[in-house]
Amino acid sequence: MTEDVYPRILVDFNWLGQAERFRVPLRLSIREQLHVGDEVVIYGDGVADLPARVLEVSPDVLEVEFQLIAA
Amino acid sequence: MNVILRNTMNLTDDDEVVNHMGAGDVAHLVNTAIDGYPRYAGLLPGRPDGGAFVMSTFAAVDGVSEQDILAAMRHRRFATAKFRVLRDLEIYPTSMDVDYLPPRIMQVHFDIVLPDGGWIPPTGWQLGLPGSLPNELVDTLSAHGQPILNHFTPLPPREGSDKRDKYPDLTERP
Repeated sequence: MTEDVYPRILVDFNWLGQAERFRVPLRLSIREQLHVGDEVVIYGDGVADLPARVLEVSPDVLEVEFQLIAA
Repeated sequence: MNVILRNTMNLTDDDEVVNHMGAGDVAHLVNTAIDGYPRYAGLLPGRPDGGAFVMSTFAAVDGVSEQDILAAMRHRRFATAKFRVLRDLEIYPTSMDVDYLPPRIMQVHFDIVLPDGGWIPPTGWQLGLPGSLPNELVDTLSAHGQPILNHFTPLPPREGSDKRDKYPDLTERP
């Protein structure tokens, strides 16, 4: 996978602080495009892009778990 | 992740309020406020059925300093204002039932409601569906958001750069 195809995921960093592993609610249409192990780019209001990996995702569960990838 | 309305509103005129949410950028503010709307469903007074579009802030009170707040967040841009210039806005003490933030920081979180012109979600409305947010609503939020941001004085930005144009965006709003 090349860098330019990583999907971007908008999260609300207001509640995430400095957490490196976290769960965020995402719409079903987004969850259906994600798979465990996928690399994504996490971004939010006023925060630098952060590469992350999908740890847990299911169409049946609203929240998706991500782990930031150390730079 | 659920938002909780605390029962103590203890801000006084000289308290410093820190805005980390789109400081100086109303587009970021509105985008994040839209994303958070469903979390406030039925939570705030006067909105029994709908959510709320809010701007997230923290107050340097109860032994929590401005530096404590900045250290707890990843944001690079912050702005501050005295509560006295915000007191006429609709502000609520809110927390989240997650432990990503230190509890003492979570306890000084406050949401400022962006006026939405009385918008009520249509039956069956879901955030993110095509056409789900009328342009007029986004315009209204921006029009009310900018004057609120103008109350805040920006702090020098942290090091780093913004790069937002390299990747497809799964969560882009219609």
